[in-house]
Parts: sequence; C-alpha cells; structure tokens
Amino acid sequence: MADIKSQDKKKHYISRKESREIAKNNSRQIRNFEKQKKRKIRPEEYITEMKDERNIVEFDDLHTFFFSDAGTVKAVNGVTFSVPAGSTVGVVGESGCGKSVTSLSLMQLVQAPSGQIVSGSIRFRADMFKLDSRGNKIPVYETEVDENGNDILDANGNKQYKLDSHGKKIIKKNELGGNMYEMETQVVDIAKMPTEAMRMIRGREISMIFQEPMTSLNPVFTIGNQLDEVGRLHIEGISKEKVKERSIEMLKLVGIADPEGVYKKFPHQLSGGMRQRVMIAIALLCNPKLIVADEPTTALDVTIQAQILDLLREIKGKINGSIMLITHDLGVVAEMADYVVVMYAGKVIEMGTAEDIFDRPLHPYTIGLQKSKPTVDQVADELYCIPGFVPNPINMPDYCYFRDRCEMCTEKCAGEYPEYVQVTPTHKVACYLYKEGAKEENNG
Amino acid sequence: MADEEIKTPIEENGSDAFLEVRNLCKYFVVGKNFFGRPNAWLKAVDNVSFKLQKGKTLGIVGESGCGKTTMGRTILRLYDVTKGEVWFKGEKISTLSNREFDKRRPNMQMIFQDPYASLSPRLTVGEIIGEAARQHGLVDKSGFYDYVIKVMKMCGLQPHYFERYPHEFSGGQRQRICIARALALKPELVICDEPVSALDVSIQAQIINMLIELRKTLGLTYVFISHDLSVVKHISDEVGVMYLGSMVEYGSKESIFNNTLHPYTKALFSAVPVPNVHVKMNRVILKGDIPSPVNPPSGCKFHTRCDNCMEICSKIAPEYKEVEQGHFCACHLYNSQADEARLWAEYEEEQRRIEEEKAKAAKGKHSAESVEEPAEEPAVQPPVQPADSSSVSEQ
Repeated sequence: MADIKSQDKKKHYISRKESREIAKNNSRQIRNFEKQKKRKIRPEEYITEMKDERNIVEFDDLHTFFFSDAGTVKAVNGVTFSVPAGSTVGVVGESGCGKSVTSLSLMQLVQAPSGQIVSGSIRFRADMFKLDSRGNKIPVYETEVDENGNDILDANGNKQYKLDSHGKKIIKKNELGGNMYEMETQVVDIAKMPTEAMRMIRGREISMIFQEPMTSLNPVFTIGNQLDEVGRLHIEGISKEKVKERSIEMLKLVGIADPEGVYKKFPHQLSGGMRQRVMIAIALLCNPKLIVADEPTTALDVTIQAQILDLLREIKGKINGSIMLITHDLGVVAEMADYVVVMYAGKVIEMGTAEDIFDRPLHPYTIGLQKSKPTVDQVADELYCIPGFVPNPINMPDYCYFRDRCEMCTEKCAGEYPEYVQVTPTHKVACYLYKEGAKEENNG
Repeated sequence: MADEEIKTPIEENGSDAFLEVRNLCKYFVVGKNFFGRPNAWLKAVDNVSFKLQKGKTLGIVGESGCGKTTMGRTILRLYDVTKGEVWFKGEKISTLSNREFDKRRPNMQMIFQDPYASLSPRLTVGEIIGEAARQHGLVDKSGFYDYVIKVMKMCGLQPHYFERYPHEFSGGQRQRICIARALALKPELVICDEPVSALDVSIQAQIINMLIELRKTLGLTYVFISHDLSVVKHISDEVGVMYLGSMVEYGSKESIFNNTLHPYTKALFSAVPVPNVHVKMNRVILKGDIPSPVNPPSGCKFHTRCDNCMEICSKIAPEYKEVEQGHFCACHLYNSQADEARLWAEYEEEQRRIEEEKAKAAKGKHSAESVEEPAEEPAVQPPVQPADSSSVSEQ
C-alpha cells in the first residue's frame, strides 16, 4: 500500500521547488499584463474592422488563462466563433469547459490579476460616443423646428438653437430620457480596450444575466434601488423621475404583475423566478444590443424555467437584439438557439446551426453528449456514457483533448490538435474523422 | 387507499408491501404564540401514502420546495414523523424507539443531494465508507480494509483512493463515494435524494448506469427523488408527483407518462425542454410561482396556477383516489357526479358548523350587551352540474 501511495504522490503533487518556480513565473506574467492595462491606450489601438458585416460579435482565437499556484489553467484556449446580429447563439459544454470564461472575457470581467486575456481579439460593433479633439462628448442641442420637423435656418444658414432662461443651449433628450450625444458606429476590440472605455459598453451595449439570481442581487438594497442604479450610471442626464419610470416599465416588461410593489421590495422577499426576472429587467434597462445569458435557468425549476425562456424569446423580439446563451442543458439550447457552439476543455469542437448540431452531430463528443441524456419521449435500456473524465486543465495533452475518451479515434488522432473542417457552409468540426465537404472514408 | 385505512385502523399486520407509507405528515413549527405553543405550521409533507414492492424503484418528482426531500428524510426518521405510519418489511418503524430503530438503520440508507457538502473533509475515503459498517458491527478490525476495498471496487473507485481525502475528487467521484458509503451497510432500501442533479451530463449517465447495475446485482429498492423528469423516467418503475407537500398523482411509469391525468403533471411534463430542434411542443406555461407552504391556498392547492380551475377547486380539497387500476390522482376533474354532490354536501355541513361556532363565540362575548347579528352570508350554493359535465367531456 505504501508503494501505491508514493506513486500516487508523485503523480498528483508538485514539489516545493516546482511550486516556487510557478509562483515566480506567474507574478512576472501578471505584472506584464497589468502594466499593459495601465498604460494610456489611444482609441486607434482598439478600433478595428469586422470580418463579416452581419456579425455583432466576433471572437477570434481568444486565449484567456488563469495563472494559478498549481500552474497555468488554459480556461479558454483559442476560441473562434461569431454571433450574427439578431440571432441567438447557444454555447454548450460541461462545467469547466470555458464557456463562462468566454462570456466574462467579452464583458472584461475575468477575475484579475490571476485571470488574463492573453491573446486574441473580441470584435464588437458598438455605438460609441463621438469625441471632439479634447476627448469630450459632443452633445446634440434642441433647435427650432418647423411643423415638418426640419430645422429652421437663419440668414447665414446656421441652425437656431433653443435657449433656456440662462441663455444656454438645451441638450436634446433621447428616447430613454437621457442627454443625446453624437454617436458613431465603431467596431472595437474588447480584448485590447481600456477599462474606462469598456464602461461605456458594459451595461449599455452588452449586458449580462448571471447564473444565480440569489447571489447576484445585493441583499441590502431594494429592487428599485438596484434597477435605478443602472439607469443613473449609464443614461447620462436622466432625471430621477424618469429613472423610476423606466425601472417600473422594465419590471412590467418582464412580466411582474405588481411592478410598483416589487420596486420597493428587497431581494429576499422574492422567489427565485421573480429574482431572475428582476435580473433580466436590470439587463434590459439600457436597451442593449447583445444580452449574455450565463446559465439563466440552471438554478430554477422546470416550470419556472419554461416561463423565463419564454420571456427571453419574447423580449429578444421586442428589443431587436441578439442573445448569447450559455448553458449545459441541450434541451434549452435546442429550444432557444439558432446557432450552436459546442465547447470542450477550452476549445470549440463543433459549431453550426441548431439543425446541424442536433440532426447531424459530427464530433464524437457531441454525439456522446446527446446520447447520454435521457429523454422523456424515448426509452433506452442503458444510457450511453462517455468513458473517463475531462482532462486536467493544467497539463493539457498535445493531441486532441478528447482522444482519451473517444471511441472512434484513429492513428491520426495521436498527432497534433485537429484543425477545423468545414463540412457544410454552416457546419464546422475539429476532428480527424471528417474532411472538407463530407465524412472521410477512413478505416476509423 | 386512504379511505381503507380510516375504516380499518386496528389492522396491525397491515403491510404486505416492502415499504408502505400511510398518510405520512411532517409539519415544521414556524410560529409560536405568547405562551410558547406552536400556532403556525409549515406542512412540508401532508398526507402522503404509497406502497412499494421489493426490487422496484419509486421516482418522486416535483418542484423545489414541494417536500420531496423532507419525505425521504421522514421515511428514514431523520425527521420525526408528525402523523401517519411508515411500514418497512411488515414492521411499523415510525413508532419504534430510537434504540430499536438503530438496529434497522443498516437496512435503509440514503444518498444525499450535494456530494460537495455531504462528505466530511477530515476523513479519508476509506474511513468515510467503512465508518458506519464498523459502527454497526458488520465488519471487524482485521477485515476492515478488504471489506472497504470490495465496496469501493463495486462502485467504480480505485483501491488506492482509500487513503485520499474528498477534496481531491471531482463531483462524479464524490458521488461514487457517497453511494459506496450507503452500500457498505448492505442496505435493502436506498433513498436517493437528487443523486445526479449536481453533476454534468456525461457523468450523470455514468452514475445512473451504475445505480441501475447495482439494483440488478444487489436487489436494491430505490426511492429516487429528483426534479429531472427524464432521469426519473429512465430509472423508475413507479412515479409519484408531489406539489406543495401532497402527492397529486401516483402510478406506474407507463400510466403516468402515457396517460397523464393531473393538470400539474401535464404542465410539468410539457415544461421539460427536449433536445430536438424539430419538436415544438405546445407548452402549458404555468402562471406565477409555487405558493408558500406556510399559507397554502384553500381547496385544491394547485388551483391558483391551474388552467382547468373550476368553482369547486378553490373551496374543497380534492380526494386522493384511484382513478384507474393502480393510478392515483387528486383532482376534481375526475370526480363522478355523485362524488361531487357528496363533497359539496360535506362542504356545506362544514361551513354551517363554522358559522354556528362563530355565532356561539360571538354570543358568549357579547352576552352582556346581548346584541346578536344575524348569521352572515349563507353557505355557498353548489354549482349546477354543467361545470362537471364539461370537464368530463374535455377528457
């Protein structure tokens, strides 16, 4: 037995020397990244171009690592996919496959300093404020208009501005009740963006619904307070009354029967489903273009889950936005998503439209995942199960990460990690079993 | 079934089933009056009855807070039974003394919900698994190691895990340790409280397959508590659906899934997302949340969220009765006309009694003033039959 124990130790523990080396390396790496973040970043550095104009977000070879004491955890290791405007993209995978970290990278919310976006880019089409030469926002002023809504010009061809009692120009209000500024649509790279600029996007352009409504609402503030906070922060120049009006309107939108009553309540007075509705209301407050829903229904019961999914679908139509839905439940994805991305151990292994993934799954992992879930409408004697476990994220093998659990692997699989194969125009898979256009006729 | 027991309460040797639960109630006290007497109860389990034969699996489904877990724990007397009886192998275990019951504990074991919280972080895996077996004298000191290794192998754990601690394991492995701990006592009845809900899909399948395999080889009987209908359908022979502490539907798996009776069960089944893009179910979406069990709705507890709600539903609690052979359901939709008339009569009787009591109390109070008000609002008239006939035609 002692023999077994010592062997075991060798495999699973790191020596003091190794641990010191890791710590040293980590602190050096982290210092570098933090320095990069602190320096002044000019807008030219992060403004880029989209690869495809129809997309709202493009992840391009994103790497997000965690520098832990046991070694570098490659949580997201080269993820490439895009979210087309106006569609729902489902990201599926088991726990620890990096789906949440992908979404956190998009929000720049990865837990620093140990977690860092190491390389790659996240391109997002954002409505950014136009800045003048001094870096200030350019407001739009109220002008005198005729009955057709056209500006009345004076003799010199200039606009006539309305003035308040102090003789100052009045800033025009937008549909949310905030000040109106001149905007321009820009494509920005979130991975390189400074935190200050990111604040303009977070909450206003992209908002997030978190997994556990219990822990993500602050227990010491009322629901109304937490809703108003978002409005006050992100809608500049909005009046107090307007904020409250907007908050209550949002509560009504998410199907809360008594919005004025809930506005005054504390989170503990609401049930799980109601809290999740409040979370959605907070996310929708600034009319975002993209909603990132990170396991929005995992903590809820099936009947409440059905309500929330129904609500999300309805709201997507109302605000005309896109949803990135992160979940481990294949049923939820099948119901909600137009496109599906399957992740395994920090990499995207297969992606395509929902029909592609559910009717013609290609990757052995996707096939196994679908077979291993018992369904209500089918009867099976024994469930298929994928053998083994997810590999240790610290020491990933060089070959295909799924090889050790795969039943269809060939000799080729021992080689380096497989490239993506475009099987149909919409369907991509990273597996040696397939080649361009069709399944490879191999001995495997 | 419920009726029978009320008629023949003397029948002591009553249970021929492996496990039988009769009118089991578990109330938690949530409020006390000035003198410390309880005056408010949370009815976590309210009048649940079922019978289970040896080697079968009973699946219990329901939303969170419906009392599934409390029921499982009450059967094992981890909570005291408030009312009702539990019979195990022809013996009434709900009234045994603690000392007597401890001797029977190895026969019935539980697998707990959260494998992260239910393992002591300070004990090695071998100690966790073998501790209870040693305590109950199933194994002596010399055979301890071999015995534990045998159990571990049975549950798919490597022998060299014996010396390790729980934090070194993943969720799936921890759940295997929990199962091994339960099986080390050679139980006949195992209550599985959401054993797979904390696990990933691919690991879930491994654990479910193992549970089924163990059932075959060891002849176990399971009470399988879960909120995941697809898992329950896969593993169970019989299914019970709970709502707010009561069993609303109970029957064989086939009858429950193919011939669903209760509106709640229908809604529950239709809410499960199916991993198929082409299936667009016409979903019954329930309005609102599950009501508080401290203050449950009057009449049928489900009437606040039910689509087929009739007048009778909000006033009279439905009877839990056998609608088909072996298929029980508590819903007014399946009342015969005679039943309904009887229920209304009973209800009126009850109302009249309450009124009288009220009047009496008022009389006693105001006797000095001798002011008597006429009895308010006469008992509600029973609705005419059409409501019932329409619901029958729906079926």
